[in-house]
Amino acid sequence: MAFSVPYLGHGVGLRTTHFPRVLDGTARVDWFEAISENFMIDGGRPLAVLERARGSCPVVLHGVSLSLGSTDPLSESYLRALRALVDRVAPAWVSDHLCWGSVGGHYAHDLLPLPYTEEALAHVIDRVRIVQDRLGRQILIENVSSYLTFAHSAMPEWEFLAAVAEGADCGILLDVNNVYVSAVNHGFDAERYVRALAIDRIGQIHLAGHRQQGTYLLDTHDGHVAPVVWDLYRLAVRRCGQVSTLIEWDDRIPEWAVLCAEAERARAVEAEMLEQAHAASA
Amino acid sequence: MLPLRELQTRFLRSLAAAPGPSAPKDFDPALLALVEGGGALGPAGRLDVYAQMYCGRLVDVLRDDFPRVAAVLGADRFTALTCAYLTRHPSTHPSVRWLGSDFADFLAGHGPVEGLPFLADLARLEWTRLAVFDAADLAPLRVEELRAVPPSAWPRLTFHPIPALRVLHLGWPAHDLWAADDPTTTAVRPAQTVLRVWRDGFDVYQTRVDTVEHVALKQLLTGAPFAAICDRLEAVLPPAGAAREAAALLLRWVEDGMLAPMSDRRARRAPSGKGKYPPPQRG
Repeated sequence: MAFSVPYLGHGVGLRTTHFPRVLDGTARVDWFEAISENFMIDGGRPLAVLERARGSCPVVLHGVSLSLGSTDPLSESYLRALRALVDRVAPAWVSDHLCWGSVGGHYAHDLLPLPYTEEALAHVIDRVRIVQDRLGRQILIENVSSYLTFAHSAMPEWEFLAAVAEGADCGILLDVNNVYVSAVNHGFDAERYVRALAIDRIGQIHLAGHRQQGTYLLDTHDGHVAPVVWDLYRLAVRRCGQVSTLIEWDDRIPEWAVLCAEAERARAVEAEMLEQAHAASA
Repeated sequence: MLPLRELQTRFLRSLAAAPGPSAPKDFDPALLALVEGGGALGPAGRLDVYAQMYCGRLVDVLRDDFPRVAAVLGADRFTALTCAYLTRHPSTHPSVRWLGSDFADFLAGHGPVEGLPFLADLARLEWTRLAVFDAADLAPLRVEELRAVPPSAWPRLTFHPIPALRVLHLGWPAHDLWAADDPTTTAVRPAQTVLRVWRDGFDVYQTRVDTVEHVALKQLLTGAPFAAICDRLEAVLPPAGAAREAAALLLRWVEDGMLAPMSDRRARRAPSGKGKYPPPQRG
């Protein structure tokens, strides 16, 4: 069992704020990540933008509603729509989250935490396998920010994530900001999390901003990447080498130049780490 | 310890039970017992983070989808009303795109919101604009194609709308509210109103349809030939003027980009429904 995706460089999310730039060809970036559900529509401007984007650079599809951990049956209509979108867009890869968001036919439209139990592990592995069969390709699963954990969890999140990736033979989308947010909220060591994952499973990294919300950190995607998250990214690059990295900026989205500057900063951090690694091995 | 399904059921029920910033925080005790309580938040505080996000996120989605309804109501009343909507109509679709599917009907069935009896119709217009915004693409019929049709073929010609056309029947001129410079205005009188809402390129348009156009439009939507449209117009116009008016309407529809090319079979999916034309269910 192996996992491999191409290295795409440093990308940004495909968001409506910058649709005009995509349409007029001035949104130049290594690659875009598109939210799958936003393009499960019949036509109009969003799909035209997506077509334009994929004509200029690689695109990946990132879902928020697969609800991999839900105990509801996987939504057949959703899987059909995702497969149709995948066939249309030919993304470099497809990802979603290690969480659940629906039960009893009702959707929370949130990324809700799982208990890290053997029951949940077997359940998620089974569902990732089904999804991969239906899409005819491996997917990546992303660790989410969380604000609570369950007392009956039998293993830490990083062990659960690694076990899902091995058991389902899928990739990992490592959200470094989410690791940090959860580490602060639950009092674990963020570096230990990053060090625990098998580097050959990590196909993509997310970077984003968060906010202090009273006594906890909230994953807001509405600002610059925090210095401490850049440090965690440095560790991830030191361990993994080059990994396609994406800036998630979904609220208070800045000017295109500011967004690109954040992606360029990630590129510089990666180059700095690779140079250090090269110098150390010389 | 609860089985995973039981845990998830209690979790979502706790979030959705009473959405709203000031909702009571009496979370399920069996669920709270499973939540680790380290740090300053405690189990209820941690669960409340998710409860607040549930409400905040979904109200934001509805505010984006119904901006004029939100403006008329004001922030507090909109939040209260949408929270009541979410309790009655929790999301049943993986995409939040469909969260507002029942909002207009909810407003209509909620009893007239005090002083705002037009609100359900305004919501219908906003939801219809969304349906048109992301309806299937089809390059419309252009005048040149029409000009190439020989006169002898005209009586049997049939026309079909593009997928991005909807016809709305309302009891209030919601389009006037929608177009008002002041989005909070409530100055409108009841009036039976037929609107056509369509997309040309990426832009969504709407216009009021008068009696004559409505008669012709109904014929168009049933796939009637041009001669039948003229015949029906003779019921509301002098016979000599019916054909001329039908041609003028046809030209206007073509210029608006709301007719499908005559060669395109996909355009035969004419909208149907009562009063409004809901978007097709999709995955």
